[in-house]
Amino acid sequence: MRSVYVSTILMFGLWLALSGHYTPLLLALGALSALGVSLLAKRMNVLDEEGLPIGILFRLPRVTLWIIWEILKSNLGVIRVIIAPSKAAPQLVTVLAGQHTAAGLVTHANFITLTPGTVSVQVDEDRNEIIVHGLTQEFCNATKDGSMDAKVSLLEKRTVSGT
Amino acid sequence: MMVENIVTVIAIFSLGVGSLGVLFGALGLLRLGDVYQRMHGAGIIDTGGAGLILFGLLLASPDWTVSVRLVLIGLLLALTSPTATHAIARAAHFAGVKPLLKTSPDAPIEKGADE
Repeated sequence: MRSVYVSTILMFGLWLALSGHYTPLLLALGALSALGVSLLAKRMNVLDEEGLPIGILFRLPRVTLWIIWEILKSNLGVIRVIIAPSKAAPQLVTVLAGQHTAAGLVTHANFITLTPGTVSVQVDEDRNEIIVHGLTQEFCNATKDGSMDAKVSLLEKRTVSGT
Repeated sequence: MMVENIVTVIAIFSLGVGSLGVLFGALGLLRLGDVYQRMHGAGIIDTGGAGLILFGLLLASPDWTVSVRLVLIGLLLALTSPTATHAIARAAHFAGVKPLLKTSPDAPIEKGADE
């Protein structure tokens, strides 16, 4: 039941931020719809740890800042290659993923693709491997050195033990 | 007044750099070698390019309701654009498109050698 409260509060917060109408009637209707949607989601059994990872919200800012920094750095790297395409040395590498949940693995693959210069081509859920296409050797090394793996695991791990 | 000026300057700077990023991404789409490499060019457009433009708009936004929408657009892009890129890469991979590979900077680009 706790997840219904949290979901209602979050949804009503989103409603407040997007609506712009603050008359008592509309506020009440907004709160009611937030509650209704949360109850429906509960009934559909999607309000579990994966659908509503509350714990992540508090750790997300740090990882977000880190990934923004990585994105800016590799953007410059890719632009350098675009200016001189002969510098491109494309590779396919296999990256080990230390995540234990499907959501964690997807997040890792998404982070890899989100950083320019590397694209996850295939995710192997059984062997916890992600096949990555990198534009140059440096991009591949940056993905393989495990720092991104550690960051994603940080997001994931305490989610499993928390709540 | 002074602070407002600085924020405006940062906003314009960020919009300009973001536009340049989009331009370079488009150039990359045209100049790079094969479908996989071109995806990296497209990656610049929806991370650095769109990100910096959204950041610039965020700084220039007149009130907080606009800011909220801009942040939500940014989150949506951060979730959907890698998913779409991965879908294309995966489709190409499964369709049997072999990436051009180059093991060392001096070696000639060779076809084949999967995984």
